[in-house]
Amino acid sequence: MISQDIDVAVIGGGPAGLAAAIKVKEVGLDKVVIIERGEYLGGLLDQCIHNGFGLFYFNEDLTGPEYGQRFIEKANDLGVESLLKTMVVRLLPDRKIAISNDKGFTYLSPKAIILAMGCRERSRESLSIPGTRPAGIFTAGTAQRYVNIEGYIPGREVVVLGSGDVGMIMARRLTLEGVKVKAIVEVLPYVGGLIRNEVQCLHDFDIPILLQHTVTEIRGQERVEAVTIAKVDKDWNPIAGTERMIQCDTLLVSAGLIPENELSRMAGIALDPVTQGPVVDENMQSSAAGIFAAGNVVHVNDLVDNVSWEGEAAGASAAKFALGKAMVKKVRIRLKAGENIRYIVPQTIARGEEIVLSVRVKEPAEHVRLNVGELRSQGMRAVKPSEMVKVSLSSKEWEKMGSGVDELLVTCESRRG
Amino acid sequence: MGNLLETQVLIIGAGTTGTAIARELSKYKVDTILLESREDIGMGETKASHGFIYSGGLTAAGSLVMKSVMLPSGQTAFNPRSRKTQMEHESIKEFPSLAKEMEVGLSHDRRLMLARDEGDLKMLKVAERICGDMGTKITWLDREGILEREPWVTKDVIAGIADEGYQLSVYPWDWAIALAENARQNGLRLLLLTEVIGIKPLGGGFMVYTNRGSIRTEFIINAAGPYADKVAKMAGVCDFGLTCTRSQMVILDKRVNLLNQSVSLAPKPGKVRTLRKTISGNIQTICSEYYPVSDPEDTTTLMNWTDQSIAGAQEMIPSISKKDIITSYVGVRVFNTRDPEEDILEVSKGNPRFLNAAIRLPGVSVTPAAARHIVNLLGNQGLELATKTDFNPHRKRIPKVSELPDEERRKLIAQDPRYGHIVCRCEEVSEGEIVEAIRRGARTVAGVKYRTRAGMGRCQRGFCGPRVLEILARELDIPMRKVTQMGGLSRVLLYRSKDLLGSGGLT
Repeated sequence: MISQDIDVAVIGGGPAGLAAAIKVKEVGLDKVVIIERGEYLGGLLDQCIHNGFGLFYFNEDLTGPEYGQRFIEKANDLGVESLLKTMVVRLLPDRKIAISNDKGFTYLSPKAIILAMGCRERSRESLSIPGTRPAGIFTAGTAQRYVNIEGYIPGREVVVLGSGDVGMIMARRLTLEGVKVKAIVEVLPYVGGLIRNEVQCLHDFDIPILLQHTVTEIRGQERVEAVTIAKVDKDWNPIAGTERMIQCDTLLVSAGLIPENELSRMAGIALDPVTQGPVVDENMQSSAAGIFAAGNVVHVNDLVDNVSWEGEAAGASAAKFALGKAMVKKVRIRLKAGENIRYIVPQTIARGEEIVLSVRVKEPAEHVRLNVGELRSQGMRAVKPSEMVKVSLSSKEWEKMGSGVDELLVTCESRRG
Repeated sequence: MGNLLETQVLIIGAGTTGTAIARELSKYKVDTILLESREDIGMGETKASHGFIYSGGLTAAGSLVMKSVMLPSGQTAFNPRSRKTQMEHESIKEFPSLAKEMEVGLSHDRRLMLARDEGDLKMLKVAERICGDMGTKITWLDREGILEREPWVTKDVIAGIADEGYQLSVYPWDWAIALAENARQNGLRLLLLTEVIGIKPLGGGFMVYTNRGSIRTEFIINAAGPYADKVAKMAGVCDFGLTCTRSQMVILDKRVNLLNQSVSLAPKPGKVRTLRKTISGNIQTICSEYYPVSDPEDTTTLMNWTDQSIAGAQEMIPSISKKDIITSYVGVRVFNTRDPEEDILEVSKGNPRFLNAAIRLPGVSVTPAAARHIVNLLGNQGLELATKTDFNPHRKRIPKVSELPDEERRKLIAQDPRYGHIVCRCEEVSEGEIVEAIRRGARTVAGVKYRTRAGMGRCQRGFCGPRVLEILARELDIPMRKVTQMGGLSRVLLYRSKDLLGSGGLT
C-alpha cells in the first residue's frame, strides 16, 4: 500500500503535523508521509470557520480553513505524501507503527516519527456531571463539527458549561444561527479563554456568563430538558441553596482539552503529569529516541500560530535525526515550575542554546515579574492562564548561569509586595 | 406489524431472561414471538448489570457475609438446597459451551478479599465458612502474598483470602443480543418498540393488545423485568410484588492499570466495595450503596455516589483518582416481595397458560437452567415440544478487528475495505463493524455502541459520535436528524442550519 522506505512519518494532519512535514521536506528529505485519520488534511481547522488565525504567523487575520489551506497547499507543492482515513493503531518504542485503512493493515518503520495527534475534549462523562443521560449533550468541538461541517444545529436552547475558547466561539456561532444561548457557566472566577473571544463572542452578542457556577444536574429522560446550576465555593463545591434550573434542550461542554496520547503511552513515552503530553527537549524530542512531538499533543496551545512553530521545530529535528546526524548532547537543564507557574515546555533544554520557552501561569495576576533562574527577569503588566507567555533565552543570557547548575526555576512573582 | 398476529408462545421482555427463553424455545417446533417495548434488545436493566455468573465463589460469598453474621455460630446464609443455588450450579457448567457456540466474550477473573484490621479478619473467616459450605476452595494470603499479586493495593492490608477458581462473567447486553440473534436464526419473531397495553384471556389462550396491533397467543411468558407485576396485573393474574434498588457504578480509563483481578474489601453493614476488571480491561467500581427506588427508569447519577465510588476504590487502591473516570451509570436491581432471594419461575395460579419468569436482579447466572425450566413447564401445560432437527446453535459474532491476528485482519479488509477504516479510536472499532451491527438490528447510537463498543472508550463519542451518526443515517437511509441516541424522542440533532433563523434571517 505504501513504500516501506520512509524518512519521517507524521501522525496527524492538523496544523502541527502539516508544519512539521513541510519543514522536513524543506530540510531536504524526500520521503515524508502524514498519516491522518480524518477524510482531509487540516485537522480541526476546517471546522473553525471564525477568524483570528495567523495574526502572528502570517501577520494576517485568517479563518481556520484559510490558515489550514496555506499549509495544505505548501505541503502538496513540496510533495508531502499523505495517507487519509488512516489510523495509526500501534506505536512501538523502536519507531515501528501499525496503520489501518481501507487498503489494509500494515507496519511502517520510518527513520523518525513526529507525534502530532492534537488533543481531545473532556466529556460530560469524564467530568462526572450528575443527572440523567439523555441526548443533547455535546462537547463544544463536536457541536462545532455538526454545525460548521455537517450543517446541523443541535438544539434551540443551549447552556454552555465552561468558558474555554471553543465554548465561547460556539456560543456566538449558535446565536448567529438563531439559537438562544441561555448562559455560559464557568466554575472559575474568571473567563477561561482568550480576552478577544470574551469580547467578540460574549459581550458583542449579549451572552450571559455566570462565573463561579457549575452544572449540578442534567435533567430529561430522552432529550435534555433542563440543567440545574449552582454557585460554587473556592474549592468548586456547589453551595447549597444557590441552585436554579435553566430550561434548555442542549448542553455544550467546553471544560478542558486533554492531549491525545494513547499512542505515546503505548510506546512507553514519558508523559508530563501537568501538561499530560510527552516530556520534550529543545528539539521537541520525546523520551524515545527519534520520536518527536509538536502542538496540542504536547500541551494545549491557545493559538494555532504557536502550534505551527512547534511543528516546524519538531520537523527540523526529526529531519536531522532521520539524516543520521547525532543530536548534540549538551548539558541538560531541567525547567522547574515555581510560584504561579503551571508548566514550561520544553521540560528540559540544552545549556547554552537559544530557545523559546512556552510558559503557562496558574492564576491571573497583574504587575508581575517572570523569572527564569538567574538568566532572565522580565516585568509584565498582566498574565492569564489562557494566554501563554513566550520567553526566549539568548546565548548571551546563558553566560549568567553558574556551572554545576542543572535546574532553572521559573517563577511569576508579584511586583507589589 | 399487521393488525393481528398469531403465535403459540409470546414472550414479553427481551432482556437476559426473555432472550434466554426465546433461544431455548427456538430448539423446538414452536411458533414464538419475543416482544420488547424498547428500541433494542437488553436496553432495560440488562445493559447496566454486572453480568457476574454466580455459582458459589468468593463474590457470592461476599454478599452473604452480612446475612450470615446474624446467624447462630456455625450456620451461614448459604442455602445449598434452594432452587436458585441448584439452577446456578446447573447453569454455570453451560456458560463456557454457550459462549463458544454463540461467540460471546466470557471473562475469567480471579478474586481476592482483603482485611485491614481484626474486624475485617472476622468477616473473612465468615466468608471462608460460607465458601466451605459452597464448596469453593480458598487460600489465605499474608500481606506479602497479597502485595505480590496486587502491588497497588493499600499497604494497610494485613491478610486476605483468594478464590482458587475463577469468577465468570459476560457483558449481559452482549449475551442477550447473541441469544436473540441465534433464536432468530432458528425462527424466532422479534418485535421491538412494541409495548403491551392490555391482555385478555380468550378461548384457552390470550389476546394481547399492543401499541402496534394485537397478537393472539396460546401462551404468555412474562419476562418483563421490573414491569413483570404490571404485565401480570394486565392479565388479572398477579400474585407477587416487585421492589427495585439502584446503585451507581463508575468505569475507569483502561490506562489505569492498577488491578490484576477482582478485589473486594471485607464486607461491612450496607457497604459493598469491589473493584473488578471488565472484559474490555477497564476497572469498574462497585462501591456505592444500594437504595430503594420506585421508578425503575430512574437512573440519575448523583455526585455523592460518584465520590463514594471513588472513595471506596481508593480504600483498596489509593492511587485511583476521580480524574480516571470515563463514565458513571446507575444499575437497577429487581426483587420479588414473596421471597427476595428467589426467582419466580412458575405457571401462574390464576391462568395455566400464563407463566412468570421474574428473575432476581437481571441475574444472568440462572438463565440457562431457568429457560429450560420454563420450557418444561410449557410442555407440562400442554404445549407440544417437538425438537427441530435443523436447530443451529451457532451464531457468529461481529468481527472485531482489534482482536484479530494481523493476517486475518488483512484478509478481512481485503474482503471488505470498511474493516480497515477505524471510526472509534479509543476502542479501535472499524466502519465495517458498525455497518454489520446496523445490518443485525442496531437502529440507534446506543445500539451501535452496545454491539461494537464504539463510543464506550475514554473520549465517550467525542471523535466517533458524528461519524457513527453519519453511518447510521446512510445505512438506514434516513436523514441525520432522525437518528436517535436510544430511540423515542432522543434525536441527537434537532435542526438543520438556518432552520431557526425564521423569515428575518438568511435564506
